[in-house]
Amino acid sequence: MTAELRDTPRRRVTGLVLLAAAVVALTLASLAIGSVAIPLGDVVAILSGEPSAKASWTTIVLEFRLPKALTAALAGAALAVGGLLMQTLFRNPLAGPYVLGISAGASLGVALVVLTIGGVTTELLAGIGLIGEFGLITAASLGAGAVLGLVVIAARRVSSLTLLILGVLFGYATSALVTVLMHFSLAERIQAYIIWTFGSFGGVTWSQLRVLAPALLAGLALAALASKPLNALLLGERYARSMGVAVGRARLGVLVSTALLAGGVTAFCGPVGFIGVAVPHLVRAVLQCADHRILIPGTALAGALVALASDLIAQLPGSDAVLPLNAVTALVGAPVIAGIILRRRALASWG
Amino acid sequence: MIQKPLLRTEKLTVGYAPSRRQRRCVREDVSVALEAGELVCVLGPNGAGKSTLLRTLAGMQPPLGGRIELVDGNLEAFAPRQRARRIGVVLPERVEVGLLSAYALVALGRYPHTGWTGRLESADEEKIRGALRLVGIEHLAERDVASLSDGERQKVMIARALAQEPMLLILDEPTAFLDLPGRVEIMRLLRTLAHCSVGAGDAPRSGIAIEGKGGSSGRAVLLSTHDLDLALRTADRLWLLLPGGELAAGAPEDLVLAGAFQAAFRSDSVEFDVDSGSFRIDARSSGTVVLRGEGTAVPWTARALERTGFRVLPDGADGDLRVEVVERHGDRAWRVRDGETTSDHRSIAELLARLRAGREDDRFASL
Repeated sequence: MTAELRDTPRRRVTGLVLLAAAVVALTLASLAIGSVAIPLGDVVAILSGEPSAKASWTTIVLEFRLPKALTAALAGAALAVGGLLMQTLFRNPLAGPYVLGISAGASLGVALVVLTIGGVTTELLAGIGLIGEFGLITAASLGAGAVLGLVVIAARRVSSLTLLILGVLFGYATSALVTVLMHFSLAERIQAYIIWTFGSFGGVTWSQLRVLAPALLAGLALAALASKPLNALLLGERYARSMGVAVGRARLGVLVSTALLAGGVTAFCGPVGFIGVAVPHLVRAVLQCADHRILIPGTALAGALVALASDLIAQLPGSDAVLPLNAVTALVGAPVIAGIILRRRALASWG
Repeated sequence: MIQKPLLRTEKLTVGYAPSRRQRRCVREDVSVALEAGELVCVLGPNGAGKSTLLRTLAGMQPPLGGRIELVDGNLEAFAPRQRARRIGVVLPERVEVGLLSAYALVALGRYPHTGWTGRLESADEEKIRGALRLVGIEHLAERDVASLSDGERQKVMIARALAQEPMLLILDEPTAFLDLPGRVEIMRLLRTLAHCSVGAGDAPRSGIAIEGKGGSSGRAVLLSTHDLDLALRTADRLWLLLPGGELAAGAPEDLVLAGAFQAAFRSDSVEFDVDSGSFRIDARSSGTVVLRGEGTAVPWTARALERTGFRVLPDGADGDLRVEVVERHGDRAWRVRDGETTSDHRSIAELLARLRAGREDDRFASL
């Protein structure tokens, strides 16, 4: 039994089951579709440890496509849930996982590394190789972590609205700094940085996934733990406090969870946009629900779904070209957000 | 049997302390008590500190000094959940929330009683239905809160507070958004919630009751309002925030007779009239009128005269003017005697025009 006793919970459970089935289907599709098409039967065989028709297929699926699909699903879930948390905490429909400035911090970290370190050498590949895998992730993690620290310190002292404004201001300041760095940097390095900002689920290896997955799962678990206070926060912080929510602690949990989710994704995949803002609205509209015990799993599944789909579209199946991931998520996300703003009255979900 | 009060303050200071050095005291030295079964209205002009006092008593902001004792312990010693089981709050802000049914919103009131997942046991569902029934909004349970009228929404918020099973219900301006019938309805409801909670009460019907906390049963309702007339007619007791910083507590009628009510709301443009029990707008007096006559027209004439700023005296008294309502063969006329001159008028409007003209003459005469 749920609190939504009278609100056709069956419909919501059905919705969640359908979403989960769609995520599984799209994961399988993203394992089968690519520059080399692999029959679905062979994909299933490879996953269950049996030999496939071609040995190279096993390598492609297990070493390239599977980590990428898992990364996409996890990152999509993380961003969407992060967005939901921020929209509820700030009671603002336009909030997303990056409003705290977490990804701005990560971007600054990456910009510092890519645009400045080894500034003497013009050999881009050497530079990227040197800082490569670890360097970018470490820089982004340090940047995101630093912002998280600032957010936690600020959260004790200022109201949520002030926190939101500080986050936005921090984002502007960071992009200004990045602009200055770019101004004095080499074209190749600027290009490397810009490519990072496009976002990609492709670069994550199994060993990196061993770090990323626990961080994101921890963030998701923390979000799930906060679903009861989040429901009370729907009425605003003052009402929540009057009903017995330890608002300071709940807010801290939500902020740390969002920072883990947004920071983890940005560090490993770049600042993937739009999923975090758009998906929570979609889920609310589809499930007709404001209860976070339904919304959090629903948003996680829908986020995974949208990320997998975006990644599939970005690869332009049947061609060798690859579109920037952020271009695809934005192309999907912008019309969705526009539609929601236009239909706002119909949804009646925000004041 | 003498019961301990549900809430008692000792030398309470309320206000804001934005930093350690800054302190802005809004009210000092507040010592009041709240008994089970009573409806108390906090009244005072804007800026007198009604909201600050209520928020402090609700445990939503810390007191700057003094103590707040609930029947079973110091308010500040309670954890947020324990406090929420004792005090339910309705805030003046309008709640904007979508995709939430009235039932689900009232269910949020079970927050301090449920486990970490917020899962509702059948006992919780029973309390939620009881709260809806007590407020009389069972028929709204499945409606989306966003589609409710202001009055209905306010009832939902009250039911949500009741679902917390509080012994104390604190409402800041619960009637602010409502039209007159809506305000009367909410006040009647709150009075019922206070009065019916004692003794036989609503416990068996609604399933909402206080479970023997400190041997007390029953619930008190404390609210602030700008609706002085309604407060005078509904409240068991008033807490008047006087301009000087004092707080006068007592039955509404006692406060009126003692002059405290008049003192709290004295201003140049409004005066509380003890005899009629209502406020008179534009209290500048234009003089006194002795009114005589019989029939329905007399009280209405008195009203019109008061509205224009005259003090109306009964027949036999000594006034600046004399007005007589003459009724003969179904014809009605108003006769004004101003010293030597006498004039007759066919309507109250004509009468007032004559009096106004007279007042202008006086003003010129005194120049």
